[in-house]
Amino acid sequence: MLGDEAFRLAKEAKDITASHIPSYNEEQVRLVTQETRYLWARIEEMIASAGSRGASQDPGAGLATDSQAFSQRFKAGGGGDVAMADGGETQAEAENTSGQTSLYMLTVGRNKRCLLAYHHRRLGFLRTLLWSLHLAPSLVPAELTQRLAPEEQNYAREYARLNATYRDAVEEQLCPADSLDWTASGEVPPRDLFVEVRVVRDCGEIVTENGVVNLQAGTQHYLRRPDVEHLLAIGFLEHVNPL
Amino acid sequence: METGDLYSEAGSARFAGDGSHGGAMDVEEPESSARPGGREESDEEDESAEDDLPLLMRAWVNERNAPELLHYEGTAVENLMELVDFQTRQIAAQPAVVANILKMDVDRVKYLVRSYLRARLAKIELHAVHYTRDPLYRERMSQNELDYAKGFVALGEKHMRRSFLDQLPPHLRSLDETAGNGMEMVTKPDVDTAVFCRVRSTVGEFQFDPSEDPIVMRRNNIFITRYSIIRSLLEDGKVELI
Repeated sequence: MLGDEAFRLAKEAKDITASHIPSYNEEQVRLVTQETRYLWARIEEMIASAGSRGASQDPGAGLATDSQAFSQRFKAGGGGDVAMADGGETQAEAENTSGQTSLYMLTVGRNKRCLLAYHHRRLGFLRTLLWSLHLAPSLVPAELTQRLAPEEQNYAREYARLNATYRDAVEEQLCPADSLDWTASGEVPPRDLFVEVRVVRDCGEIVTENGVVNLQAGTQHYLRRPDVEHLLAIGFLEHVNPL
Repeated sequence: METGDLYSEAGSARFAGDGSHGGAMDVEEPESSARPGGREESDEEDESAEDDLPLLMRAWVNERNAPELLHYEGTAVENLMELVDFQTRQIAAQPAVVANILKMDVDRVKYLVRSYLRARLAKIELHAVHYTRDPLYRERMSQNELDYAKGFVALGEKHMRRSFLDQLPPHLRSLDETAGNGMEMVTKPDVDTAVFCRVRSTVGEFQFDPSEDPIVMRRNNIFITRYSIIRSLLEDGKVELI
């Protein structure tokens, strides 16, 4: 039925939650764009036939969404002298066609909206995910990467780059010698300078102000928060006794 | 005794900006000359940045509560970061105990700045197209933020184009239409949303609703109201959002 494909896409957009994203449904997107193209072609046909009967109509004159005004023009242009121009067609039939055009116009608009909503929500999910991973697209887990379209993976990389550009510009301006720990958790203000952490997965050696620390799985350390913030965020370390 | 020493030391490390250090001094001067006693009060550590720190804290809370993007407090951010830089260079010369307290302090200021900037970025992303088009909001952004917003818009458009817009008929490819029912593709902040605000300096009678009597707004009163109503008061600094 008309609009069903877009509805399915909208439903999938709704399935996206904070922690889950379904696979990118390329097939469905293709179906919706296909339907939209088909409907648009039909609309243009109808306008053309109406135009040949009445005043000349330009199918593309800024009509994309304003379907009401559009169908009115259609009526005004085609309806008036239908009987004269085309002997067989009656007034009722002309109105029928204009009704159909309006319906198609609305469906086209709705399809586009569903497409936009679908992609928009997915991008929103992707950005949230990236922030939680310190804006490092390479840290996106493999099972999630599979569900992303190549175009979305590309978006993730470029988004990270955009952020890096901003961060560098800001740090250059505000604290050339220092870092703002830009992607550190923004939820809670720091309460302690040091945190006690337990190593969940081997991280190798990290360099801190006070020397090199070997973060072996299972060991526990007392370290400066900014030094290990990123490892905490991606779950390699675990905060012991958080407040 | 120990604590007392420690605080005054920490305080004076900051306050060294008052007299002897060129760069950071300028930051502090207006405020320290305005306050009687100046240096003697240096044990109240938080006072040392009286102008910029509370100002940025307020801007931060306002920013996080206001539906629209507010004015960028660039000067406060820069001044604070200059202090941070100054402080960081002082730390090395301090005994470990004091150094740790100072580091903590520095970390917290950095947190504030970071959180403030990120809150703004998040808001910019929300209505990026609108903000980059409207001169009012363009002025409210720093150059870096404006660049970011433009880049963000371009990135989103590119993604939509490549994902499906290019597959649609050319007349359907724009991203800023208004639908027949008045719904726009370019989203705008909802300035009629409800906010809580506290009165910072007595406003007197204020007309909340044209059809009702004005209400007297005194210092420290708290109101819940539409953002659009107190928007101008917020700009003048007469109320703060909470």
